[in-house]
Amino acid sequence: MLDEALALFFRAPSSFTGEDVVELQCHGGAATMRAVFEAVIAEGAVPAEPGEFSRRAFMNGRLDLLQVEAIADVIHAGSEASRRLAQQHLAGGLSKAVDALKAPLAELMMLVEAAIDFSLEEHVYSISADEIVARGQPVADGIEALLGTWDAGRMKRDGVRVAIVGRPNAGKSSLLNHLLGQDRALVTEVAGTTRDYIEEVLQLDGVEYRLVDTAGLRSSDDRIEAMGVARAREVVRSSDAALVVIDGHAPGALQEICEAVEGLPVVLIINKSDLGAAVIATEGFAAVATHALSLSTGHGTEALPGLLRALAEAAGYAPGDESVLLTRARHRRVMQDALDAMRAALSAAAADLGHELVALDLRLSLDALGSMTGAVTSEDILHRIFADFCVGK
Amino acid sequence: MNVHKNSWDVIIVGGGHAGCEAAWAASQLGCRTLLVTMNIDTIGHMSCNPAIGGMAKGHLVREIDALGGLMGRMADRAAIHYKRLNMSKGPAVRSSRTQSDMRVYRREMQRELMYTDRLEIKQCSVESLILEEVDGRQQVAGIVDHLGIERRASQVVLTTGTFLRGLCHVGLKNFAGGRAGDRPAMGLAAQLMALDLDVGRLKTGTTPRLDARTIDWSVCEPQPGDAVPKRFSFFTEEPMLPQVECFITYTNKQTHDIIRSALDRSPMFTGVIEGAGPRYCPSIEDKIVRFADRDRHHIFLEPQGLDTSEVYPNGISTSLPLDVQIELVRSIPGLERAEIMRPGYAVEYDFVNPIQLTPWLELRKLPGLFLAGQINGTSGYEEAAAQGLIAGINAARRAGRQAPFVLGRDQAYIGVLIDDLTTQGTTEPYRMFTSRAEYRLLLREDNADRRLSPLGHSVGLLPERHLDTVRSKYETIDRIANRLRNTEIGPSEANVALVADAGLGTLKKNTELATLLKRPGCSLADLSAFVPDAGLDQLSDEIAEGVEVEIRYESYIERQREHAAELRDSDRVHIPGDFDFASVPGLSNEVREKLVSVQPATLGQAGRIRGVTPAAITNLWMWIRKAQAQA
Repeated sequence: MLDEALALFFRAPSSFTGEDVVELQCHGGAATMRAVFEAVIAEGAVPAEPGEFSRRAFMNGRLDLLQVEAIADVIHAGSEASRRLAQQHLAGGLSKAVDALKAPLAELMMLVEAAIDFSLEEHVYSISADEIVARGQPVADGIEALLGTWDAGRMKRDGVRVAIVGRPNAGKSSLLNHLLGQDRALVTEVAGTTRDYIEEVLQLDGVEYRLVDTAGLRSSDDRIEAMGVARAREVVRSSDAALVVIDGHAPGALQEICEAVEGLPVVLIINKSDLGAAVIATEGFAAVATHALSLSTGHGTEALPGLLRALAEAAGYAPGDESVLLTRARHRRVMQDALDAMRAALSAAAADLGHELVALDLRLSLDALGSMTGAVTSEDILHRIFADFCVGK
Repeated sequence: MNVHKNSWDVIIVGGGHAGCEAAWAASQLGCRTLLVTMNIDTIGHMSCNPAIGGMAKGHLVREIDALGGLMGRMADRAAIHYKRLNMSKGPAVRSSRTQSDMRVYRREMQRELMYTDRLEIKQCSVESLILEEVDGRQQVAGIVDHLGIERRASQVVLTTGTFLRGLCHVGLKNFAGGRAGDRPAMGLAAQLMALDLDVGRLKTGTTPRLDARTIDWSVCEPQPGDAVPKRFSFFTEEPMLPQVECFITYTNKQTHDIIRSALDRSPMFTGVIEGAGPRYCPSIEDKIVRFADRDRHHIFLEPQGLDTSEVYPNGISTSLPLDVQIELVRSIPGLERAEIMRPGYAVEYDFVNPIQLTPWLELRKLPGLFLAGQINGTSGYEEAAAQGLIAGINAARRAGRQAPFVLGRDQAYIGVLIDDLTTQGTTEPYRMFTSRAEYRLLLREDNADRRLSPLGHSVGLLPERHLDTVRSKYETIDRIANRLRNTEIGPSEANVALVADAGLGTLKKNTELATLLKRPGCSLADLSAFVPDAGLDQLSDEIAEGVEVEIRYESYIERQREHAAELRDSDRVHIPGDFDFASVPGLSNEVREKLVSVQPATLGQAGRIRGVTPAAITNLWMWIRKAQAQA
């Protein structure tokens, strides 16, 4: 007798994997667990590989590819927002959004193919180039809109990457420590990809931030330092937003920093407000907000969570409508393929290049969408033609 | 080669469009071949409409011709009306169609086969196949006819058309028959059933035939053929018959009412017919029920030949009782006094689910037995002929112990056809459409010779001299196309004027002639002034079309070639014939069942099976590699 346990039997095909599954619920304690584990292995069980249950569920048709990827996201979900997002994918939110684009595209494909193969039929009309564009443009727009959610989706899944930028001794490290100090229990350290910076993860109000502390930026004639600055700039460029820290007492030249964060949403933190304020030229920054505080006295720091959230939202982090977000690089690539093909089809139609050439790109676009939620075959298209049109002599 | 009496290398059962091509191919490839048919007089008979070609079917005919088959040449000899379809669309989707004098077609096909070396023709009704065990496996060894006579061959090609347990319906009356006027094949059907094959039932139908003398042609719209006929054959200029017109008339509300009121006597709507019919070729009663909002349907009145009064009213295929057929025909303008010479009818027949075949059309369960045509669930003369040709070639290659001959989906519509059949199977009569071909821009009528003639020659079907014709044609096309790509003209005053005069717009900078050719409305002749020595205005239509297509489509063709290359890669991974799909772990039951039933020959074919996922293919690939590493 190892333990008194509860055994649950899930009969195929209604289990998670689609196979017969027995679940043993044991009492806690590492020794008991190990003993039970060894006992079932002695009886012929084998330990699951990582992802084995999902793989089997997928192989048995219980989950589609999107759902498997969503499970991986649930397992790896770092924040509340990304967990919610992952759960909604699991429920098929993204699948629905893709299917909603696939349906009108398949309809358009059907009309174009009907115009080619059934051009002699009296009850099949030959779709015009104008109608192809009129029907295809909303699909292209829809794909583009979905693609536009990539940044927001990625930020939910991977976190909002915020570069902390400033001249040396402006208070960047103090700011980082201060932010991390607010929720120390959730802080983890992620090794930077280069030695030049480190990346810290911060959970705040359900949003995950990746705070990147960069080397100080300043103008320099020194060649090696200039290379370091160039690398820091690269780091900044791959971020979603920037917190620019300025020494309010002695700001120094800000031109380099201004250039480095160009194009990113920025919050300006004017530090050392307790030491008195100099005149600072901030008009070069496209700042979401400018806030004065003192990290040494703590005066004004209570506004930081709100500022971070505003920064995240300015970077495209969207709290609403989470079900239709692209979060995986594969999805993004596939949707980009779908969009490129759709645009090629539309320009071929606009140039009156012929149905067979338009059809080629429509097919590529449809195949790309099909790789997300299931293919639309030529047989499916023919089926729709026969269902909708009276063909045949 | 076996020279014993009553023994051949290949026996072809059936003399329809599949059987004719199979017999021709096998004998051309050097095999002693026997064609058996229930009736020698009906070899090459057109049981349904008197036409060859049509959308995507024209492509098949051109491919058969390019490989060295018969259909294109016979269709040219029998053609009484040529029409190239989809001329307003691009060259990839233009198809040729002819009306045939069906009696001339049959006669020419019989003449061709009767004087083919190594081919014998015998009239008999095959009752069963001779099966023998070789090395513990059952194989086909010949046929037994209705008189009990055995004829032996290690390769048998079955092309039974609609004859397997054929049942004809006119109204609620039905009678056993492979088609009206012919007996069915019952013994063979029973034997195939006993072999525990997956056999299904299909249905097709045909129209009543009308007497031309009783039609008021003056109220029908004439449909002339093309002024300059585009012949099917790439190689031989067959003699041409006088050309005639077709006519169009229409059904109306009265016709539809007559049909509706008689549905209780329709074998289709009363459940007497069980087999699935083709949705792209519905009966008139089906059209009226399913598309009740249509107030008319067109009918093409097609002559069946030059020396017959029979007319084929294309569009009113029906299995309603004869009295209803008479009434509905006479409700149609121009047909008020029309006499029906033969009633329309439906025919039900057995077919063998083609997923049981290899990609070279051999029945996996019974080595040496090849199936082609309607027995594989297809419809159409052209689809049948295409399969017959491939089955005949492969029967001959098996006799000579050579590797199978398989065309890829990127090489030919024939490849698409056979891959679809053997990979997906079918539940209704399968017809070719251009939309089934994913590499449609590569598979054109105009370049069927370039794609296939080298292959036709290498298997021994196409004579060397024909291949030479193809080579020199494409040398010319490539030379001219390259000349246009490599010749630039500048915006000199003279050039600007020439471009404007040809209606090709403006010329602002140095421009390649190939780029000019891509402008809308530009033809090769328009460019001849820029390269006077190239003789662009004197090219044959065939060469000019070839050059124009190469250049106008080039970016699209290039993309399709790249995609096709990816397909080739996965089709190059062969799966051993004895590979045990059931042993591959991690596959869902559904996928495993499909793989076991299709037994794909390549990884590419496995991936095309509907419902087989990319993940399953990855898994399968790993196991194939593992099996190969162990072997």
